[in-house]
Amino acid sequence: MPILETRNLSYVYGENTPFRVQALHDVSISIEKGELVGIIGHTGSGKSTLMQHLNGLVKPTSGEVLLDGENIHASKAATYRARFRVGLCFQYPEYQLFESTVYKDIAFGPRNMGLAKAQIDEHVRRAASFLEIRDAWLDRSPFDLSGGEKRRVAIAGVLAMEPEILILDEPTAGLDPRGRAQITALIENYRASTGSTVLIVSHSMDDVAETASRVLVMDNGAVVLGGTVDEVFRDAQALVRHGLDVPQLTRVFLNLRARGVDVPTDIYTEDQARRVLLRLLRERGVTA
Amino acid sequence: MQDVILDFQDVSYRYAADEGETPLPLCVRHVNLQIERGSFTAILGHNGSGKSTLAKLSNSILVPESGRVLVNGMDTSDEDLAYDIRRTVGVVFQNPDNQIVASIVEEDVAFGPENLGVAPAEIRKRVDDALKAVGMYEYRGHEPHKLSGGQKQRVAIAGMIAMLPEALVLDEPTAMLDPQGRKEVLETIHRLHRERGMTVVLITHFMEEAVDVDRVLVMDDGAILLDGTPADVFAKADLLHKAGLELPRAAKLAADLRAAGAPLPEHLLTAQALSDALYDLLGEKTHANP
Repeated sequence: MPILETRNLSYVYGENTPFRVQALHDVSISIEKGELVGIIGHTGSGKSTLMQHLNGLVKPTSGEVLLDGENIHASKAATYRARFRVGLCFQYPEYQLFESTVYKDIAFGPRNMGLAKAQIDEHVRRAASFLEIRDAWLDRSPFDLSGGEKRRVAIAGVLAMEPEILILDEPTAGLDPRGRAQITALIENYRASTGSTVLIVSHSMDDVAETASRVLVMDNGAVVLGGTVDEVFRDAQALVRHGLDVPQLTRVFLNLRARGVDVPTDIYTEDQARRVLLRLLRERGVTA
Repeated sequence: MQDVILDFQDVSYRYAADEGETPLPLCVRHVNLQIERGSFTAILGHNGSGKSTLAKLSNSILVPESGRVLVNGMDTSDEDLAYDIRRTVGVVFQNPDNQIVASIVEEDVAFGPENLGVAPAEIRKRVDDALKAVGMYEYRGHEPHKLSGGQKQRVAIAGMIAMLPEALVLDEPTAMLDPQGRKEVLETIHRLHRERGMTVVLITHFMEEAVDVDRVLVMDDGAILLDGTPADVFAKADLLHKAGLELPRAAKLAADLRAAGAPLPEHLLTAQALSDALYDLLGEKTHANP
């Protein structure tokens, strides 16, 4: 059974007003435990609205969200459980830091869960260690940290609730290449070592290509493409049609194919690209 | 003799520490930099390298602790010149939501010239012209908060254009945008440069945005680490890596293939350039080889 599922989820903003907008159309997705799923789509495609449904923050206009097969709006208790089992980390989460120390900020979630002091401390330190937040920072004001450091503290605040499903909305937006690579690696390490399920919302095709096992593409409030990274990136035209970019490296192969060179076009990571091209160069006798 | 619009002379800057705290270290260190009129320069650097501070120093939002910044020869530390300096160099920031002040697009664009005391008829003309320049004229009656990020950022740029600046300094203007929004904004900036001769300084940490410019500067720890054409700068992968940056992905692949013995030319920075070069090696004509 999937850990998280939506069935025919629809959502309408401003029903019965002239500003009615249907933000989600009949979305049915299914997420297995332990997966890292990338959800991509251009701005306004509905990805953030979908995420806000997954922990009960927004109630569907129609359709349902199932957590371990249970409708999260079946009862107040079910909704409450979903809040903690599904951790949602918004875009630019560092704007939501507010406590006087890093420690207190990370502890805010576990404290609200009603945990005992010793347990809160355990949660905070475990989350801090996953995000490589040094002990020395814990007593400092979060506002004295750099942008990338603040981002890690904010993500740790969600991790500290130890959600089974972690949803991150654009976790690397606005960071420099080193910060992007670091956050991506830390999240992947967290998933691998805890067996948690992770959903990453992104419009960076390149980020998703390197990390996700499965990708869902959203456009105009609906899931329009879905499958393994290979399957989704193979259809470059479809990505472009849905307002997305093809990864840089895929573009190299698409250009070659368009000019009649027999190369695969489902290439999106550096490793794949290097391997395939070196083999071809050898086969054609260009290199030894 | 080059025609310099923006002249940093041995400029250093540090942010003020809280009272009683030890002073913070310099975040811009003895920078000497001349930006030529009509040029397009990209400034790369990791978060905290000092590049945003450089942007704020360029139109007297900040003034140097030591050294001086001259805009068309005007010293930014002279408060009496602040108006003229800001009219000459417009700065656009990362977050479009922080730069929109009015509830209608055209009113937002008119805000700058109104403050400069421009006559109403002239304002109308400038606003229309600025909105056309960024491709947002059809949206002149819209509410800014209903626009996409890329559209908002273009409105912010139009707000600058309406003040008729000679140079635009853009501090990571695409960092918060999706691919479509990034494309719109970059095309707009390049068009302003090409068609109006606008001097552009584009601060970014997207390496791909620095491959088709005149000059690339790399900042690290408050100082200029590299300065040259994109081809020169991206040939120095080790230094870039040390500065927390990477090569554009196509350039990195080209470098890896070259290191493995592939006879690829230097300076392949874009997917297009790399696929063209690979075509020369792998395309039909090489089939003739035994």
